Amino acid sequence: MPPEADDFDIDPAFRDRLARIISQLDATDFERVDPPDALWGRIAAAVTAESARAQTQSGTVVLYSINADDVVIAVDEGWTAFARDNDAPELVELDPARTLWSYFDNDETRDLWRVLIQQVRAKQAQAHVPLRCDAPHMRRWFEMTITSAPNGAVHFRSLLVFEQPRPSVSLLGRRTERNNETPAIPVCSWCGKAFDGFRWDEIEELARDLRLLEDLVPSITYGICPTCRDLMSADLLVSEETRSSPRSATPHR
Amino acid sequence: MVERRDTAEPDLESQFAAGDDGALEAAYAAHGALVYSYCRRMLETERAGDATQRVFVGAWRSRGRYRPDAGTIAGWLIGMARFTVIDILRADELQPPPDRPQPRDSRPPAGDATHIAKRMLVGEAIAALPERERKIVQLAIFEDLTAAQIAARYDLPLDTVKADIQRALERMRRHLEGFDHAA
Repeated sequence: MPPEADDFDIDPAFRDRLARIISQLDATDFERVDPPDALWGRIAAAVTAESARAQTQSGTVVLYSINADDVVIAVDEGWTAFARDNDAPELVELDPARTLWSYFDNDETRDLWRVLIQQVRAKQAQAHVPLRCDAPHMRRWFEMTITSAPNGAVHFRSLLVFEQPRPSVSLLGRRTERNNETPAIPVCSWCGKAFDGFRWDEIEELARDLRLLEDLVPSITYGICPTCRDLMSADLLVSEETRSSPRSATPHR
Repeated sequence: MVERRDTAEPDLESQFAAGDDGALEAAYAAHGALVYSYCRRMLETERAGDATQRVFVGAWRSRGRYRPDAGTIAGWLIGMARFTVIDILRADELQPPPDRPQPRDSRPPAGDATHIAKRMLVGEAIAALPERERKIVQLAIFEDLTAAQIAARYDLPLDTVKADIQRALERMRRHLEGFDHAA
């Protein structure tokens, strides 16, 4: 091998090279071993960490603004990169008709943000909000700075302050096949904990328990846990009553 | 675990080069077993996983240098795996790890890293062929049958046999070009 040279359109140098390789082929050259199941998660986590590091080095991770009608009007490359990184391509191209509130699926969280942004606008001030915004392979802590701007606009600047790789949590995967017949799992946007119907716990713990019982994971909905809600509400009240500028609550971590 | 799946290679290759969403995962699904198998052959099990991770993370970081017209992504990945393995083995030679006292003599020597990589790549090209083409190519390669003899044995048109072998040769050529491209 290869068969007669005049049978095929083949470069003689390549033919010789291939002949040398093929003459040494043995059965082990065809053997394949499947990688360990966890390996892809490690690779994805490493790539995500590299990407986030590169973004952090450039300063802002995510930057966007809303106009006086609360429509998201401007995003930077960080938004696009973050949307892609979190497997949310529908957020890459923003709908000019959608307000910020349409991105919330939890009334209570939406109301808290409304109050906060009202305060920022009313006082022409700045607020700082710590947030969790995890990817399946990565725990991420952000610091969001909300700043009022002329004509009712508000700027949001989120900086990644810390991240920590972890084994992938399929519960957070946007492409994960879901069991929609079971109630959605609430996840706190502030501390990242999830509610299993009885208690708020780290999402990895909850996911581990669920995996024992379910073939398909339930849907999730982003909201706020009671502890973070109380802290946030208290801080907003304090801000309203005593401060010249609001500074949103620092939820527990 | 990432589901193994057939992938339209030209699409995957261009998507990978462009850094498209999901392209790394698709490349891992398509070629993770090849890269890992190669690393397992050259290194201990635990380090094979680390090496495979380095290959895919490095490949994604360097995706801008990958050119689909210069060879297959499988060849390119194995070309990178070859360098990763050689780096690890050279580091061992310079500084043998104290917690790994057992000799590596059950593994191929570092000098074989390139030869084994190329053989596994050619093996991959053959194994990935559709069944008929694979059978034909195996007869041509391992039994030294001519295209005419194969055509006669299987009562196939000579042109069909030649076309099958030509396609297999082309695939091997592109694999090896991808391998060279990783240099």
